[in-house]
Amino acid sequence: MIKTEKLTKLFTTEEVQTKALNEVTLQVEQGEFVAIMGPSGCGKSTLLNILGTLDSPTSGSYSFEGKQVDKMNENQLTALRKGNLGFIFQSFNLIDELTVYENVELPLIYMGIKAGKRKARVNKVLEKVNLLHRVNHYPQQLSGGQQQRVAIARAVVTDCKLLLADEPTGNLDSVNGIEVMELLSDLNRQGTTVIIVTHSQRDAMYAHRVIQLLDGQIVAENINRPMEKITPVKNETL
Amino acid sequence: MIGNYWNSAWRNLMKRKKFSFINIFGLAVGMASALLILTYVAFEFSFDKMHAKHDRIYRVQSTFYEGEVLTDYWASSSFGYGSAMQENLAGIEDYTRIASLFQPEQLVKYGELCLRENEIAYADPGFFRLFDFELLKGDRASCLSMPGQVVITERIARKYFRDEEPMGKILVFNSNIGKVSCEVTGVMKEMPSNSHIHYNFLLSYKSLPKWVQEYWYKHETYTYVLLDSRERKEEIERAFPGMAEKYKTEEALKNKTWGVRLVPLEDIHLTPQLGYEAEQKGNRSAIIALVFAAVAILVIAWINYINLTVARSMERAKEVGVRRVVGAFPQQLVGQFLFEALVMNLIAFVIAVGLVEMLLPAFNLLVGRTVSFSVWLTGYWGLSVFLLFVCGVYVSGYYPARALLRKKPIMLLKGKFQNGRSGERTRKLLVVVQYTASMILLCGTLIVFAQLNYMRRQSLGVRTDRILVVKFPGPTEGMKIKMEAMRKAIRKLPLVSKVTCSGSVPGEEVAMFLSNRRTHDALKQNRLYEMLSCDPDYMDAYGLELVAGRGFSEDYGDDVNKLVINETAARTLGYTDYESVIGEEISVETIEEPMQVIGVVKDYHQQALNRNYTPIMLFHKDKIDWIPQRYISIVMKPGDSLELVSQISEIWTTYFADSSFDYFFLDQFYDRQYRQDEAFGVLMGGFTGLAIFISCLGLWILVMFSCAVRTKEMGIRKVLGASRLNLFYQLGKDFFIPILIAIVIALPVAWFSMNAWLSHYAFRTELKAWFFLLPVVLIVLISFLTVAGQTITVIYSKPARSLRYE
Repeated sequence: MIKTEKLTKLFTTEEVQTKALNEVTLQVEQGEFVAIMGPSGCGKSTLLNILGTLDSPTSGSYSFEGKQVDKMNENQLTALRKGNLGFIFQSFNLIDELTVYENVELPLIYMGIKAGKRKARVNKVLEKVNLLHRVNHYPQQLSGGQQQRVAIARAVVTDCKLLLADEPTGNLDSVNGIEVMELLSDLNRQGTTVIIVTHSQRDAMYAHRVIQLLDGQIVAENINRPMEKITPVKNETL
Repeated sequence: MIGNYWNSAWRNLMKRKKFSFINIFGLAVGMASALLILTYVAFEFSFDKMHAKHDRIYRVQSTFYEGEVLTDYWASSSFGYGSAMQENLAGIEDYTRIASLFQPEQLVKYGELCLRENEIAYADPGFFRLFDFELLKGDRASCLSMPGQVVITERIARKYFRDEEPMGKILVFNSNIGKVSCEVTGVMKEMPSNSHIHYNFLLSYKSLPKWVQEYWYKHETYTYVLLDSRERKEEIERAFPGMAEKYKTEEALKNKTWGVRLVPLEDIHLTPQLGYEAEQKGNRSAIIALVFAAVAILVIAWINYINLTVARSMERAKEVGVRRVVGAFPQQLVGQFLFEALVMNLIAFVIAVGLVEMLLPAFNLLVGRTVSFSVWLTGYWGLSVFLLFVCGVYVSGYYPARALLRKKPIMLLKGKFQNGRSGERTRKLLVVVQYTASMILLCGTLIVFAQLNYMRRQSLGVRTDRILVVKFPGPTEGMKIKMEAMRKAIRKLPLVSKVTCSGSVPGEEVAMFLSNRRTHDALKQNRLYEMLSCDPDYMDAYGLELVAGRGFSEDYGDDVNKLVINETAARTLGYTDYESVIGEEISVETIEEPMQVIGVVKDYHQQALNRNYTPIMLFHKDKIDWIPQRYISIVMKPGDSLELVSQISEIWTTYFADSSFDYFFLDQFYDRQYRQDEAFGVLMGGFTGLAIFISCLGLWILVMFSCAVRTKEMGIRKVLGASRLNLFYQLGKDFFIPILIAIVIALPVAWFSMNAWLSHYAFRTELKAWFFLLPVVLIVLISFLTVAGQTITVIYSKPARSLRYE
């Protein structure tokens, strides 16, 4: 599904040049659950952002389902993200001015799905994350765990193929953290490819494969457990 | 999608109420100012366009040339021009003459009711063929076709006939040409306020004395011609002088080339004021200045909106980032920002319309017009303003959106959004534009008031204070004896110092032009002079200063045949040494015997200082019968002027019970000439104040955001030992440098533009350095206070707090 070749990212200021990624070559298969680990500043989030097309590499190539991503313009990247990629962030990144329902509905609006269908899909996914009773609440009125569940609902409401999570439990207590990881694991079991960036060994245990990064380079790869055979039911049965 | 945009826009608006209020209020005030000015400007440009044939109607204006030199140019034409032009020149489809200068003020009698009325004109039947003034009663074709007919306005009909049917009633008009009885044959609607033609009574042209109806030597009528095509204009103007030669049968002005200029009906109101004008015209340069002010205020307001929205977009970066991550195309986000801009602009627009509605009555009072929103329906004004609004919405929505979309989504999500250098440069450039416009407006306002002040303080050379002017009674039997007796009775009143009668008073054009020359001039060079009829007390009463010879005096016995002239008239006669003109004989048009110059008075301002001195000849009231006496001027001693008015009114009733008693105070009458300039000054001042206020509002918010972003930096600087002054410099320099650049750009622009404006005044103030220095000091001071007001909290806060919270 994902293939990168010598992916490099340089951050340049007037005086200093920092190499965040140094020729990273990586392959992720469909249905995999991959965890990226490493110390702060090693380039984990940079790699995740590039994989999610939120940032572009300085050099190297990146292809998603056989399509060359690093050559795409902004509109093509947006089109690629739409319906294919879902994002979960440590700080949730919900829009404060929109209600729970409206936050989850947002990707469907941009996909041009009609209001009736949107409502059904949003309600269904919110039911799955146990937030149907909070549809009219604003993000500030929810706990951290609830906010992250809203973010997950927003990420999967489009039936995305790849879910990218940047420290999804970083701002949560252990109970909520486990709950979130269980949700991600369920999604993976139903066929969604998941890549997470984490500091937590506990979270990494949910992954099939753990990639260790140091100074922008992959220094180790550990297989936690073999990948199960995929049953592509997606989040219909979340 | 729109629902989502609306939710986002509305909740953002409500989330930061103070910010939203400042943003919308600034925009609304800017829009209201611009809307008010543009409504007024549209009104001024809408003059005389209500007539279907307006694009082919021209006013015939008289010109007189000596060789290539244009010596005289009047708005009026002679009684005979219209008919002669139609008879002799091709391309004139129709014409009408409006003789309103001949007897504009008459006593009108209906039964016992006798009132002095003005705005009286004689018009021929073509009037209702050319113009579309609404006739409520009567037949357009025949209501002015016979002698003894009059068409009146609705208001006049109510005034004289109350609930009676006005049609067929007889009104008696009493003036110097005698009494004329006229049957009311029509009632018309009040003429619109955006028409330069305004009359209360239209008497049929045939009601004029026969001798004057086609007379070529009295330029006291307005002639309007309807051309078969606009291309005919030059052809007719070229052909007129040749045709006029046939009609120049008298000696007067024979040496001059009589010509005409055809001025399109719709241009009359905004072309320069000429002699014999029908109205106080609009001032084109003032209107252009106001348009500049309107656009400047609107641009300043929109720049504020852009700057504030961009500044706030730092807060909204996350929202934009999320929207991009979940699949919004850049153009969809642009659409969202445009939608928000539309919402904000529409709210501001609605408030602005409300504000304008509220202000219009006071505004109309100030400018002396009846401006309303209906002018937007004329021409392309409405469409232009709509397009301006759309452009404003587009730019104010698009620019902030672009500023955000240039960033990578991840940068926005991390909240690391800061405007780049180019964004910062653009914002500074916008501040420069705002302050340049404000500076130019401020300099301009100061100079307008300086000029007004100059005109008011300048010695007029003629007394205007403490003078009560009573209008002459209508012709009655034994007029001369009665008048003399009344004059003596008034003179005896304890509050009266002097009494004098004259044909004109300062504050208006003398306007009685005669073509005169030195009797012994070998070249027989005739020139036009304004002839002021007066009695021997006039010069003393008005404090005219003699520079040579003497004034009129009863002591000399034969002063009836003498002239006193002003310095300009002496120069026009060819004398620079005023002593040598004394005793010179002058051939005065219509007078057989030459008249002798006995004195030269110093030039004085018969009219406001925007008009140059004109050649004036003062003659004894008994010399030329047909130039009427119109005013009795009473110089008052200190005391209760209203008490004096009541005393004079009693005396008046004794002698002229048939005539209405009408009076005015000369200083107010003279000052009304400055009304337009004053209104312009007040408008410019008001709008400049608003422009500066809106600019400062913008600056205030920008500094507020800048402080919010730089709190940590300031904390670190404080820890490292920076002084408060240094911190203020650090926070303020980004704003003061654009302001200084604005000053450098604005000063020369203001100098050139105001120099051009002042050149319209014959007597004008000199441009002084402080006109430009004061605005600089003011702008810098106001900006300093604005920046200081915002930065003081950051400068005085404990560094530990800012560092901890950052």
